[in-house]
Amino acid sequence: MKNYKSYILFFTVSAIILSSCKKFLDLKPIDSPTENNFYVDEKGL
Amino acid sequence: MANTAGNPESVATGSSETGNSLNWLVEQTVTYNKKIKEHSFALLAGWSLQKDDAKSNYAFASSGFISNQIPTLNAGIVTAGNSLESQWTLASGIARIQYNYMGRYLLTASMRADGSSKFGSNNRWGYFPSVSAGWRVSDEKFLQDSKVISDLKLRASYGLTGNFKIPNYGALGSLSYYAYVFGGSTPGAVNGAAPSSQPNPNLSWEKTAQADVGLDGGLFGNKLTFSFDYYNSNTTDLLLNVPVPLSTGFSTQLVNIGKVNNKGFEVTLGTRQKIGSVNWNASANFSTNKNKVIELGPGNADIINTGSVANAYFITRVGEPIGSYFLPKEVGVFKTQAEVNGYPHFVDAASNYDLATTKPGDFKFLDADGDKVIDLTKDRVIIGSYQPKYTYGFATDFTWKGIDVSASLQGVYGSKILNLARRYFYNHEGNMNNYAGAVNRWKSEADPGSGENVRANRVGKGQNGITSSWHVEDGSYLRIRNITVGYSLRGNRLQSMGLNRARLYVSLQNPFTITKYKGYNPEVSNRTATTTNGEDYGVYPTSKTISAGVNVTL
Repeated sequence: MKNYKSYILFFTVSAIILSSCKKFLDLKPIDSPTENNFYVDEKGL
Repeated sequence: MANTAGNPESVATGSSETGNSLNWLVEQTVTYNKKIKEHSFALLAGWSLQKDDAKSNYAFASSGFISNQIPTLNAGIVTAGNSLESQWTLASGIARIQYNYMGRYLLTASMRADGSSKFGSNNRWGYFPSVSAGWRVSDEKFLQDSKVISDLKLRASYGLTGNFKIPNYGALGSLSYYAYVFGGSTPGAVNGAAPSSQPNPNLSWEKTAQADVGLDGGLFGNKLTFSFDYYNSNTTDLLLNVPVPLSTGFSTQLVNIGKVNNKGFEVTLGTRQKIGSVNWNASANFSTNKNKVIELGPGNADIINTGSVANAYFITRVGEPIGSYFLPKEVGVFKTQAEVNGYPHFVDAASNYDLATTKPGDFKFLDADGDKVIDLTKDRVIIGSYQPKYTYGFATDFTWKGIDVSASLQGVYGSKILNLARRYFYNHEGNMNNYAGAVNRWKSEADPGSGENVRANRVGKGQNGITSSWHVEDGSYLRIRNITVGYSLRGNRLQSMGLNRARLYVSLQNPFTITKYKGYNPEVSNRTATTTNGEDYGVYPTSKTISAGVNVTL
């Protein structure tokens, strides 16, 4: 029974983590401008 | 703070720099093992997340220091600085199944998926399956009673691996700040930004598919052991900075391109012997690797990259090792004016009064395209690469009573090094100590020297200073890595001191290197990219270390 609980916990945590992978991998430069974060307001344009 | 000693008029400057890097990794795996009679199964599944965050701050005070008693930048006027932060993330999922029958027949299959923030949004994930099989032949009935073969295992594997060693935001189009002048007399009156690199949303993993067959074994009760591997790998979608037409507004772009093949074999032999009260162990290894570019981009056009100085070129060309040196070939030194007149040579512009025109004592370069004109952009040829033909190593240790001695060595053969430091140590300009070969330089037509070193001249003439094959040296070496001698004490006197064992030792690290290479260290490369590897531009030598100590066991 204890093993099944471990498996359920593992797969639940895995599902939550993997579902947020896209955001985790979507990094943009913080200290320099890119096309995505510069031409977005009046000052950048 | 820097201030020139004894010069009260110099202006003190100061800088302060801090940096920190945080790398965290979370890994979760679940396993399941099952045995059904002689069949054993082991399953594993899991995932991992990793993030790296590097930050740094820098400040520079260029003036305003009125006292040396305050060691912080607070004592000066801070005029420049920056604050940087860079991150990458990696998400991975893994699954593996292992099966064996009686421990004799082994099978493993695995699959992993890796997603990296470094790649383009369209292709962040790479999928890397692998499979391997093994057969422990020595467990078969027909070998179980063998007095010669005590262990024998055959194995084969095939799998994919990935490489993501590129800059953190390599797939994104970055912008740089520029100052623009919209009229008026003040330059840089308006600040703006413009693209400085091309985005590549399709940038993805570089993949290597490798097949390997091998065997491991032991003879005579494992007194002799051996291992042999043959491998053949193809790396595709290489991550390379490729020159692009300047009409795009950029000089290079990071893309997935081409295919490179590596194949070779590795052999390891070992022995364990006990002769009387002497115990002796030894192992030796030998490996070869042949690297060849199979495909490049459209039309298989050459990729030419530059090194650290002008005219130091590397070429990646189909059929050749990746990142080969691509330089004018020096074929000697002109000994007489008659030789100069009879062979293509560099002719300076008339507007420069022919000052740099080749003269006796200057280098002779190969007219590679045979057009009777030395044109250093057209007369370059491939001059080897940094990749060795083979590598080898050896390690041994003896113990006799309380004495132990161990030694290890390692070497490579057939590598070439682009020793750019020769432009200083062989320049004969009299501005620094030169190599001993300078003694045999060209002095006159009657005393032409060794034919390898040009005339002494304060300023290089006849293209003597240009990067050429003359800078490429044999990088083969044999290095004694370690020699250690120890003596262990045991006995009642130690025990009365509460000690079980005390070992005195002296150890030498890198004590000797046998090489013809003239630089400080034949294990060198200023540059890390595979397309521009093997350059030496004055790196520090490898340190030799002598250490002595006592190991005490309580």
